[in-house]
Amino acid sequence: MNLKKVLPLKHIVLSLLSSALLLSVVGLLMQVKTDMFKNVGTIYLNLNMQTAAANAVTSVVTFFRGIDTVGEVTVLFLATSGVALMLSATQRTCDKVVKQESFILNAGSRLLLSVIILFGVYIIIHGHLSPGGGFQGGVVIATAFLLLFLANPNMKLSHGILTLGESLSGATYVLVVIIGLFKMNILLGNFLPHPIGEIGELISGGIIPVVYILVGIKVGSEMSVIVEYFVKEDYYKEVCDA
Amino acid sequence: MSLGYYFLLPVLFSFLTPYFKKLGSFTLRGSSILLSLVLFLQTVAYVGVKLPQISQFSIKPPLGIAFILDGYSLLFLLIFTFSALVVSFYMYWFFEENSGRDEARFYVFFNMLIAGSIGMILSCDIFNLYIFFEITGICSYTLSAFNKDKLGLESGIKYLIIGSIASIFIVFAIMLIYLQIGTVNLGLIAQRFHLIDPKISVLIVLMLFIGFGAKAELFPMNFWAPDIYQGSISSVNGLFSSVVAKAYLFVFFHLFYLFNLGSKYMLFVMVIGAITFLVSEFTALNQTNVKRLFAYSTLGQLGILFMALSTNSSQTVSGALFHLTSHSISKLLIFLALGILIHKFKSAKIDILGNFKSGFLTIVLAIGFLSILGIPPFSGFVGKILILKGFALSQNYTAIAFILLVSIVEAIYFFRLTAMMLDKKRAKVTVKVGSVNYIILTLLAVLIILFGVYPSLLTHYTDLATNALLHPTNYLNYALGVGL
Repeated sequence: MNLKKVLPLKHIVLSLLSSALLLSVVGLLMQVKTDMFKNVGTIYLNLNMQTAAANAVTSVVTFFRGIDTVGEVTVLFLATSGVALMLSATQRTCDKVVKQESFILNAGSRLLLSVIILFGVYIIIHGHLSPGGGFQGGVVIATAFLLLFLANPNMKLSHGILTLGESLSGATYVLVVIIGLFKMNILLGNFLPHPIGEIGELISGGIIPVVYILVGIKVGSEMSVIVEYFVKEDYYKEVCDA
Repeated sequence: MSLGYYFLLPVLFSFLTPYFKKLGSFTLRGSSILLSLVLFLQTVAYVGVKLPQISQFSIKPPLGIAFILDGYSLLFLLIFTFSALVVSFYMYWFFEENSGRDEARFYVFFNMLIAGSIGMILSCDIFNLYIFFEITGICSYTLSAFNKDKLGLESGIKYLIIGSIASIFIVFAIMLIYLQIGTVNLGLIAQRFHLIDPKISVLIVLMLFIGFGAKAELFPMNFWAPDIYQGSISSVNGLFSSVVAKAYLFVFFHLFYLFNLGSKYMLFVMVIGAITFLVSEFTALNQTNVKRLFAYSTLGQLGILFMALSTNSSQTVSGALFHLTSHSISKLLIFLALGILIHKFKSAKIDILGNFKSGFLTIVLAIGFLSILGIPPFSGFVGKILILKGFALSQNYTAIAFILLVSIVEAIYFFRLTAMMLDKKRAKVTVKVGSVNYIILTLLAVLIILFGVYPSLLTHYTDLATNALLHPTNYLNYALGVGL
């Protein structure tokens, strides 16, 4: 074996240089003091009582820095649209049907579907009380559909319903942001009642659970669409081109 | 009206696009035009209002996020919303001619591209700015691959990789800033930036420079730009040149002056800008593809802007902002007119400029070329002369000589192109211009001449912008939430 062919000198020098650079940056970071100022995270934690959400992370994500979350939802939406735009060219209609894997696998995955979706919904609506929330719950819901696709490649999702869920939840989210302007004179104001006494209840925290439920629906439908596009891409390659 | 609508309305429109699509393509195109029109009129309504204006989200800054409009962002807002309006009219023609394209998705990305660029110039929170940076990025990756042919996909994937690397650097810089300063509010960062350990502050500046410099097409990081211009449709090229690159440039200099880096890094940015200008103009000389040629020309102009904006002298910066506005309008004009030719000839070879016969297109293209080159009475002349005057006042004669010398190179290819269009010996194909495009291109050409003949129409706003950029006290007060 020729070592020079496997590992050219150029690569060795480059990797040594880059690791030296990385180490020097890490070394620089180690000797820096980071407690010059009180950081804004601590202040948010102290302010958390105002929002009456038991989970402080949630109140930062959906309220204190709520417009960032609108942006994140938009980023995910754009990514989904991008995947759809790029993959819709290669996907054509194809009537070939693959033989089902096995009855037990299929029936079992359908049984599990409701449990997984229920778990996802639980994570979404308890976002302001326990760890989790719209993004995490939405992805859990999408895994339920991934399971269905793996068990039965012939399955098709109803795009009408998914688009409806996605568009309406997104539009309602934007409207919630704008309603805050009219009711509280500040965009994304917490215009629903949120008494501190209700902390820890399922209905508490004003708009926070509403926002997380909307985000959950949106993320769930978008992730399902992405999963479908990727699974079908393989499916068309294997089944229709064969 | 609240500033938040600049982001929220396009988002609402994008989320509802599947339903606009169901109502037919006329509704879809019409609603996109309406959206651009509303945003443009909102911007016009801000002209003459007392600035800065603020629109807060959730809680008061510095804890919450806010959008702040000062003189500097107003100028860019006018350019962006105007370009969006022009391009949305142009796309009406484009989709009439190219039916069967994925119109709905194009409008989603187009409107979010504008919204993301506007978000970048309005946001007063560096992490929020990063979110808009990502939104603009994703839209530009997809739009550059919109053709879905070999060149388009190549440009899409290239842009994706470069963009992701740039955003890693920016996230890392934001992380370092947060570790040091404990906040991501631009006002507080600006106040406390000089307290950071110099070693770390150099690292932060370098990371931000690489991140935003790569996106704003600065010299060592701009090798990707011509490929992306080549692969994407020409209206998107126009947007990249007149909106997206300008948004990154805005952020670059906004942070540059907010963090008060002028004294330390001025020469560095100036030299990089000069190299960008020199290299791009020389590379543009031997291009055979019109899109690549104008991509390099855009890079060259950005080089001049980087040179002039980093000087910290109000005359030069004001001139640079004038030149920037003029360049945006001229490049939009050139790319939209080229789009008509490219559609007709189905090729982007440089020969198409000699092979068409249309008096109108020849005139508007010539106006665009001569304006960028800086020939009176077009607006590019005023922009360049103001920059040179600024350099003369600060006695930087090297920069003047440099800009004038490299402009000769620029003159070679622009005059060659103009001569090619006027050459009567070549075989000519008649090109018809639709009524919508006729109006758009006339409007842009008239603006170029108007700003060239009456520069005072624009200098008022560039002076306002310069003042806001170089003396950001009012902006800082608003970002810190003083007196809200």
